[in-house]
Amino acid sequence: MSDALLEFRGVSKSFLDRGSREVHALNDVDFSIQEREIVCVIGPSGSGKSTVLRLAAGLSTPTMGTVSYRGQPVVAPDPERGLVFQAYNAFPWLTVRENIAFGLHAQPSNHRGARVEKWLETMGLAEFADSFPKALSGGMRQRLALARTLIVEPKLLLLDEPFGALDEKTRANMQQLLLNIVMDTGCTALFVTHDIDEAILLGDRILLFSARPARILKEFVSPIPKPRTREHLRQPEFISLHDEILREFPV
Amino acid sequence: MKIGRRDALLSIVPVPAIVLLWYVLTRSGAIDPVFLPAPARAVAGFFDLLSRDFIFGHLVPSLIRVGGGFLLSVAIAFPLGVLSGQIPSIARLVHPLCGFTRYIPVAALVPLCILWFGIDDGQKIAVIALGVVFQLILLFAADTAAVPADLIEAGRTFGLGRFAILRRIVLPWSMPAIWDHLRIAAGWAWSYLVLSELVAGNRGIGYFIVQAQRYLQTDQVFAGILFVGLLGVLTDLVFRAVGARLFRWT
Repeated sequence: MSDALLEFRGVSKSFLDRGSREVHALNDVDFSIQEREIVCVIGPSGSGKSTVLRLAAGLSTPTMGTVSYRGQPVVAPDPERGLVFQAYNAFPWLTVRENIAFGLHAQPSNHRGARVEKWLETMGLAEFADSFPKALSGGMRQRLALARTLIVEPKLLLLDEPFGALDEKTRANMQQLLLNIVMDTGCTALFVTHDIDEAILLGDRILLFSARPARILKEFVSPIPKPRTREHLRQPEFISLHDEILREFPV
Repeated sequence: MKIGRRDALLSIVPVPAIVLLWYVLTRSGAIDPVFLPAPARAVAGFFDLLSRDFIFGHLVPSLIRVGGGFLLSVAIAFPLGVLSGQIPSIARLVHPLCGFTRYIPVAALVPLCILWFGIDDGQKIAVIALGVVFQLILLFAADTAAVPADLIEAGRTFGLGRFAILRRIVLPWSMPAIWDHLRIAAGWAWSYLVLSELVAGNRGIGYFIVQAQRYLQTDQVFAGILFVGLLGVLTDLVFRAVGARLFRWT
C-alpha cells in the first residue's frame, strides 16, 4: 500500500492514430505524486505528455503497467480528478455562468449559486457571466475552463499546457493565479508544459520526458521555496536549474 | 457595405426581368393567354384564392397533411438518427437501409401509397413521411456524430454517464445543425405534399392546381404555384427566425 495520491508503475501506452498507424506514446513510465504536491511534466512537443494526463484522468487505459489513484487502479474518469484541456473547450451553448456550474450537477443545489458567483469573481469573469464563450478572449476562456474544473474541488488537478496559447502577460497572470489557487485549496496538481520557466515556477518536482516513445529522462526538484512568485525567475538557483534542464532537454 | 448593397441589388434583378419578359410575351400576343395569362391576371388570381372556399377547402387540408407528414417523419427520424449517430451497432443496422431507400424517387412510391392508404390524408402523410424520414435519419446521425471529442471527454471527467452526455452535451451542441436540417426537410415536405395531391384526392392545393389546369384556368394554376412557393418561403423564414433566437451562442 503506497501513500501516493497518483502512481504510474511500468506504464506503456500504444494506440492507433487516424491513419491506423500504431503510435507508441509512452514506454515504461514510473512516477508518483504525493498529496499537495505540484509535479510538472516537461518534454518535446508530441512526446506523449498529454497521454500521461489522459491516463491519469481515466479517459484511456494503459497498454501495460498500472495507473493507480489512492492505491486503486484508474478505470474510468472521476470528478475527483479534474482535467483542464489544452484547447479552451468551454461549452459554447452555455453562458459563462452556466459553464462554471456545469460540473455541480451532483451537488445539492442550495450552495451552487454562491459558489458559482465566487468563482466568477476569482477568475475576473463576473462582468461576462451572462455572455457566451464566443465573446471571450483566449485568456478569459482559459480562466473559464479552470473555474469549471476547480469548482467541483478535485483532489487532483490535471492540466494540459493550459497557458500554451496565451500571450506572455496573460500567461504570467494565469501562472500566479494558479499558484494561489493550488495554495488556497490544497489540491495536488500534475501540470504538463513545454515551457521550462513555467515548469520551474509551478512545480515542486519536474519530470523531463524524452521524445516518443516517452520515458522519464530525469527528475529535478525545485530549489525555490514556496510560496513562489515570478520574482524568483531572476534568482541564481532558478537560472542554473533552467540551464540544467535545457542541457538535458531532448532535441 | 457598398458590396452588400450591390449584392442585394443583383439578387433582385432577375425578378423584374422575368416579369418584364412575361409581360412582353403576353402583351404582344406572342403566347395565347390560355397558356400564359398576363402577370396582372396571375396576381389577381392569387388574391382570388384568399376566399373561404380555398382556405378551408384546400389550404387547411394541405397544412394538416404537410404538418402531419413532417412531424411523423421527425418523430421517427430523431430517435433513430440520434441513437445511430452515437452507437455504431445501431448505425450499422439503420444506415445502409436509409442509404438505399433515400435514392428511391418519392414519386415511385406514390402508387404504392395509394394502394395501401387510399387517396385521403393517410396517403399524403405517408408520401411526405417516406420522402423525408430516411434523409433525416442520416442527417441527424451526422449532426450528432460531429460533436468534438474533447467536449464529450470534458463531460466524462465530470463523471457524466452516457445518457447524461447525450442530454447535456451531444444534443445541445448539435441542435443548431438539427434545426437547420429540419428547415430543409420542411421544404421537401412541401414538394411531396403537392406531388401527392396532384395524383389523387379531392382537396388540397395540389388538387386545386390540377383542377384549374383541367378547366384551362391558367391564371389559377399560376396563382396556386405562387401560393405554394410563398408558403415554402414563409416556412423557411420562420425556421430561420426561430433558429436565430434559439441559438444565439453560435
